[in-house]
Formats: sequence, C-alpha cells, structure tokens
Amino acid sequence: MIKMLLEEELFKEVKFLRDEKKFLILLDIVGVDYLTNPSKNSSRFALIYHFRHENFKDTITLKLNITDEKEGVESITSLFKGANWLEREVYDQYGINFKNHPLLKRVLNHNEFIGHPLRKDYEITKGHYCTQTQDMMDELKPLLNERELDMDNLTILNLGPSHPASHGTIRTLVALDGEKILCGASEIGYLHRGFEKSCENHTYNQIVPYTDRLNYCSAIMNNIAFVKTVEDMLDITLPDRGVFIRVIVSELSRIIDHLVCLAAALLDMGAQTNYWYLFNPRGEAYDFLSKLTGARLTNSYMRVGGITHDLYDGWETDLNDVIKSVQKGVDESLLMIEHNRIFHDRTQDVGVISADDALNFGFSGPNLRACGVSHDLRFDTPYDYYDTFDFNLVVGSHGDVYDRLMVRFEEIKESIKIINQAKKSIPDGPISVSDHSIILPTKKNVYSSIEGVMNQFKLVTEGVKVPKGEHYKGFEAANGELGFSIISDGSGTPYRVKVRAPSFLHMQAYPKIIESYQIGDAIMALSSMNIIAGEMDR
Amino acid sequence: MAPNLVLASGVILALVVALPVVFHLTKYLGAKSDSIRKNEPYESGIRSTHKDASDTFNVKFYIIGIIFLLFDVEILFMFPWAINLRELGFFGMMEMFVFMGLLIAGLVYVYKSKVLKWT
Amino acid sequence: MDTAFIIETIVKIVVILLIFSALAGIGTYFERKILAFMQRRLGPMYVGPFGLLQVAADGVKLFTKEDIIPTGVVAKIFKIAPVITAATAFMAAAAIPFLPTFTVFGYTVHPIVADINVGVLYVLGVMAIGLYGPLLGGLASANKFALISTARAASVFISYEVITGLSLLAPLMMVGSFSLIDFNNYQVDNGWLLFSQPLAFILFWIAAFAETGRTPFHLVANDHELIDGFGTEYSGMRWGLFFIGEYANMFFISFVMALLFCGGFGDGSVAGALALLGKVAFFFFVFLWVRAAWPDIRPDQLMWLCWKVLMPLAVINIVITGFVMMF
Repeated sequence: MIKMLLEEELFKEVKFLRDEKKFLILLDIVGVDYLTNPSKNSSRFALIYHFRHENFKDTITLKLNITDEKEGVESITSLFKGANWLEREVYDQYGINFKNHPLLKRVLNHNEFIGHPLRKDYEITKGHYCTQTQDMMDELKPLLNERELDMDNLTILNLGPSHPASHGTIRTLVALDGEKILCGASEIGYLHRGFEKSCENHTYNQIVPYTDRLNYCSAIMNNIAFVKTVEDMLDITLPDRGVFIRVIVSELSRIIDHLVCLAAALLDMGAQTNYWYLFNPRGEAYDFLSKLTGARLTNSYMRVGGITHDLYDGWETDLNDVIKSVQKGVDESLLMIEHNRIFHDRTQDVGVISADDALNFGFSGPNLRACGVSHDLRFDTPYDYYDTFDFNLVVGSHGDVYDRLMVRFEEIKESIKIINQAKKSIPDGPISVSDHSIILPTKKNVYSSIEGVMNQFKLVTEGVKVPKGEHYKGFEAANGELGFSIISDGSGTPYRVKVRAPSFLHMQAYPKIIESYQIGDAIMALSSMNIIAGEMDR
Repeated sequence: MAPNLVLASGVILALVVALPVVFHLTKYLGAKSDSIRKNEPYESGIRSTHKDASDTFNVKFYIIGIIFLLFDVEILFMFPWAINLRELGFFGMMEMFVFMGLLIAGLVYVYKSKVLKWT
Repeated sequence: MDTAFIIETIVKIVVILLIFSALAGIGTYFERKILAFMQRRLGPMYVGPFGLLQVAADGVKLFTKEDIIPTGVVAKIFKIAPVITAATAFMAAAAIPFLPTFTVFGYTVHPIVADINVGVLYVLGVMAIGLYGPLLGGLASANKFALISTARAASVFISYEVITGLSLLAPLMMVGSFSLIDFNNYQVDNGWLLFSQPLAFILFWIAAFAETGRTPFHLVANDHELIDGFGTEYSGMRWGLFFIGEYANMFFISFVMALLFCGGFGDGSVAGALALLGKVAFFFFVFLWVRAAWPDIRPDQLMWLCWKVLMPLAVINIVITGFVMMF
C-alpha cells in the first residue's frame, strides 16, 4: 500500500501511524532522484518511507515529493530513534534536508566528501580522499553535557576502526570513567563502496555478485533477497525445485552466519576452543558451497528467475556430513559454556536493550528475538513454503548478550531441522523459470537454434527488463530483515536500489547499549550483535 | 648462604642489564624504516583526536588499594608469627587471631560501605 | 667466598638462564601444540620436524625486528620496563631448588643457587616486583590501551597478592620454616601438604593464574579488549623480554607449587627428581588446559572473587589450621 503525502503532512501522519495504527517499526527511508527518470515526476527528489505493523505482517509505504531539498521535510527522529541514521544517509547521498534533526551530517561518506553521490548528476567515477580524522565532538559533546560530565576528567578512547574486536572497521569513540563507558558515539562508513550507485549502472543480474559483498558471511541469502525482489516485480515464481534449493542453501547460509557470529563472540571473551569447534564446521560448509557454486565466500549462486545450476550428484551425502559436523560443533561448544559460570557472568545482563527500544531502533532478526519479540518473517509473512516446514521460532527474554548468543545457537538447530525436511521433500523438475526473456537459454540451445542465440544476446546486452514500478521486499536474512527497495524505469538497469541492511540499524543502537558497561562488555555487545560492516556500510 | 643470593641476583641483573647491547645489535640485524605516522602511538589505527595517554585515568579501585596495603602489611606481621607458632603456643595464636579479627571487622565494614562495588 | 664458589654460582646462574630462556621458547611450542590438539587442529607444522623449529624461527624474527621507540613515550622507562620483567623472573629462580642434590664425577652439585632460609618469601617477593614491568611499561607508553592495562595490572595485583600471602600462611604454620628445602623435607616425613592443606593449595593455585596473567585471568594484556595492553607499543626483542618473563614465571610458579604442596623432589632419589619434573610439567599443562577450556573474566569480577570469596576462605583456613595444630 503506497500513500502519497505532502511534505508538511509527514510528521503528523507518521505520528498517527505509530500511535493510532500501531506501525511500530520504521523499516527504511529511501531517497530518490527523478532527474533522469522518463516518468517525469513532478519534483526532482522524493522520499519513500516503509513501516511495519505491530503484527509484523502488514507494511505501509509513504511517499512524498520534495519541492525544495534545501528546505527539506520534518525529521521523524523524535518518533523513531532508528530514523536518525536513515535520515543522515538520505542527507549524505542526496542532500535533502531534515528539519529538527538532532545532528544532520554525513554518515556513510567521509567528512571531506564534496557533493551528494547518489544524485543522478554526480559522476560515478568521481571520488574524494579523506585526510583528516573527525574528532566526533559534535556527537559526544551533547551526550556529555546531557550527563553534566566534564571531558577533562574522562578518558576519551577510540575503540576501532582498527581494533581486534571491532570485526571490520567500525569506530566507536567512548568516554571512559575508569573502565566504565559513560557514553559513546559510533562512526561508520569505513567500508562504504557505493553499492547503491554501482547498482544504478549495472543490469539486474550483474548486481548479484555485488550483493554477495553485503553480508559476506551469508552471501547466498543476499543473492536470494535481491533476486526475489526483482522476481516479485516481474511477477514470476520459481519452479518448486528451485524454491527448495533456495531454502536449503539459505538455511545453510544462516547456519554459517550464526557460526561466524558465535565463534567470534566467544573468541572475544577468550573462549578460544569454542571458536575452533564452531569455525571448523563452517569451513566444511564452505567446502560444500564451493563444490556446489564454484566459490566459497561470494557464491553468486542466484539469478533473476532462477539458479545458475542444479545440485550436483551426491550433494545429499555431502550436506549430511556438513550438518553432522555442525551439529557436533554446536553441541560441543554448548557443552563447554552452557553451565560455565564465567560465561554466564560475562554475558548475562550485559549489553541489555529492551524490546520497546529495539523496535524503536528498527531491530530485526535474532537481535530483536533476543529481546523477547517473536518476529520472524519466515513465520509472519511465509514465503518459499516456510509455512510447510516444521520448525520453531526462537525467542529470548532479556535482550542481553547471553540471549543474543543463545538465540543464535538455537536457530542453528532450527535451520538444521528445515534443511533435513527440505532435503527429504525436494521435488525433481526445472530449477528456473522457462521464460527466456528472464533466464538464459541452455548452451545447447544457444549453439543449435537462432532463438537461443537471440535470447542469449538480448539478455546479456540489455539485461532482464523489469516493468516500471517501485517495490520493497523484506527477507529474513541471518542478521534480520534484509530489504531491497527497487525502483525500475522499465529498462534492464534498476533506476534506484536501496538496501535495508539490518546491521545499519543495529549499529545505531550500539553506543546506547554499551552505556554504563565496561570495555570488556562493550566488546561482547558488539560481537553478539553480529555487525557486518559489508552490509552496514554498503 | 646469603652472599650467593646477592651474587646470583647481581649476576642475573647484570646479564639482563647487558641486554641493551642486544637491542643495539637488532638495529643492524633487521630492516629499519622511519616515518612520522609509523612511530605514533597506536590508537585503533587512527590518530588520537583527544589528548594523549599522559592524561588522567580514573582509577576506581584506589580505596581497595589502600585496604590492600593494610592487609598486606598484616600478612607481613603474620609471616614470622606463622613460623614460630609452635613455640608461641595457644596464647600466641589467640593473640594473632584477635588482631586478625579486628582487621576482618574492618573488612566487614568495608563490605557494608560498598567500597568493593566496583562500578 | 673463594673463587671456586663464585665460579660455581655463576655457572649455575648461566645454566638456569639458558635453560629457562630456552624453556620459555619451548613452552610456547608446547602451548601452541597442546592448544591445537585440544582444538582439533595441527598447530605449528612447517618449520622443522613437527614444527619444532618454530621456536627458533620466532626467535630470529624477534631479533631481527626493528626496535621501535614511538614518539611521546618516556623513553628511559619505556626501555627499562621489559628488562625488569625478565630480570625479576630469573632472580626468583635463584632460590628455587630445581632438583635434589646429586653427584657428578665426584663433585656434589646443589641445583639451587642460594639455599636461603627465607626462600618462599624471596621467590614470591621478587615475582611480585615483576609487576613493575607492566606497570612502568604501560605508563611510559603514550598509549591509552596501555594506560588502561596498567590500571588493570594494579587492580589484578591488589586482588591476588593478599590471597597468595594468606593461603601460604597455613602451610607455613605447619612447616615452621620459609626454606623450600625444609618444605620438601617436611613433606617427606608428613605427607604432601596438598592433602593436609587442600584449600590453601587451591587458593594458591588460583592466585598463581592471576599472578602469571593466564586465562581465565588474562586481563592485563587481553588482546580482544586492550590489544596487547602494556605491550602494545613494544616491538622486537623488547616485547620478547616481556614474553620470556611471562613464560619463565609460569615455569617458576609451577616449581613453587610442586615444592610447596606436592612433595617436591621427595627423598632426593632419581625417581623423586623425575617426579618433581613431572609435577612441574603437570602444572604447566594445566595452565594450557584451562586456557583451552574457559573464557576470561572481567577485572571487576576478579576483584570481587578475590576479596569477597577467596580472602575470607583463606582467613578461615588459617583459623582452622591454628586450632587443629593446637589441639
């Protein structure tokens, strides 16, 4: 459901949606520049807001045209804390102003960047070097003043960007009193590589390898989330075998992702052996994926309307072996920590976030479930026959580090259940749609028939032609709701692609979560949230 | 046999203090490069934007530090007592226990006044 | 003091220095191998047979690395700090009887540099001085992580040091001497102190983990939180000295535990000597085993543990020992 709004109505409408209609989750804010769009929008810039209802099933989309980007619109940060960085991102990429925003500055691009890169008149080849570290005082100072703290008595420390436990390059500037963190501010964007700008210059299938690099721990899930959005726009569904393959590989990716998170988190508290027990099965899972897709980490296994190739002979035994060793690794790792007092003391009631706060920040996935909110898109809006599988939704209760880790442990077990069921009931048949304006014809066809050659030529040179329109689709990835907003102008290249990266919204809450905990706890909080810089910085 | 202890400690110290010669040697053994950035103190890979480490750091446990001093001195008193316990007999033992009791009472007071809560 | 005596002492010292410097290296090899096997991987494999020469390769690497003195450090203190750690570790070795007295070519060798009558106090005292290494090194580095690490070093020290002292008091009361040789002889007559003083033994063992900074008390140089703590700014051989000191400490504290609580070298026979080495190896192995098994705790939790749990236990142990001895 898309609702058109006027600029001045926005704040009132969002407040109404939140308080009366119970749309409690802000999914995403998408900026659009209609400069080169053939549809001749009434104004150059537009904003699209996506919200999700309390029942987690319904979504609503608000759209408004921006008459003057310098004037901009009212900020909704006071209603949704998660809107803070989302609005900053729109400002950063498009230069659209948000009135009454607490601190409107760049978030993904660096502080010396000139111009707004996602504007259509910004050259894709242009770039700027960053020479100075920003001191972040504009963010930290208000927090200190709020708490009536004097900076001279505190230690100001950079945790990251290049810190052993920052898992990628994330900078968090913290004000310390002893080892206790009084307040902090995060700076992201160290891994920003202009994914969304690149998308606007590639055909849909060329984008698939780029999506691998979003959450590189579970690359295939990003592939699937992206191509499913495009398939929705094309209004096609895969044959059953294709759907089942997608379920199997995406649950395997979820397992891998959780294994990485758990292994790294436990290593961060010095539990080295757990790391290896969890990481070795991950290696075996990658061996399986490499045999299946040809690549270990960045698989690019999906295509719009299908899958690159079918499962190989004997995949079932290989997959069984992988699952067996995952099961073993998880069991043994749990055995070491489940009743370990040190583990409990380090994780329980540490890095707590309440369910309300988590929803307000736009949390999703295991991090939200750890707070006790039973939200999983596989249950709420079942897709890919997830409603036919017998598995459980895992929920925590406290929203602390312990819950976040344990939810992931349990989800690995649930994913194994799904894989086992899917493996049994996987049908034979084609894996891709048969429409050759979407999927490449077989090589045999190309070499033997003129239609084949034509199909191949058209598809490779022009790409899949996606009908004009705007679409948002959420997908339950390992880290939470991975959403793609795609705007198509009818050509083979998307006009605009926006990723709703779960880590981006999780990271935003991080400085708040670690307040009043100690350095060691902050490290645990970060690793338990599984922040993946690849999808956060895009 | 104290002289050989002094001698031993002296020799070990001398050997170890001679290590700067080794450090000097390493200068010629390996590669060497110099740049302003390289020699900066490390702070997560970026230049520190706020003061340096010579500034104040709030040591939260200084009261525990003081209590520690008390107890460590107490233990020093107790070492000779422990060695000679058999000669001192029951009365000597009870004397020390009374002394310990006083200190433990102090420790209980410290518990109660929440000094040991380290947050 | 005749010349022979001086020469003998110096020879002993050099032997100890060489053996334990080498042991520190081999200790790292064993640590890597044992951890690897516990974690189902192979550990060092490529340098030499079974990766045995990895130690040598590491040594060469440390020696050829550039000795960096970063800008902003207090150079003199920065340079001397690792030396303190290494020197105190080896000075502690002077009063430890590593083996029973034995005879070679008609010459009686006492494998102890100085059998002083306050051996226990001396060993523990000198080891405690070793704290100045991390403390000064961390303060002299112009690095905030090193500074935090220094604060942690102090907090860890004031936590375990009281436990070390108090837990030793009960055995001292029973033995009535500070000499490690006397401890050994007492246990030959009366059985291991481990059995008559189990609580003291466990307390001392826990404190030993804190003293050597091993998991679960790997706090001062906790790599996941504080990079390398006080050692962050050190490179090459200076860092290597911290490292050698740390491993030497592990060996010496293993010796002390074996001598104080586990019967030492017994009657001084060959079997007794081998038993002592076996005990030391066992304690060293447990250091590694625990590292493979447990995560680290937080510094405030260590302080809580030491002051609120271990210390009252140690005091109770002393009182009970006193009464049992009197009646």
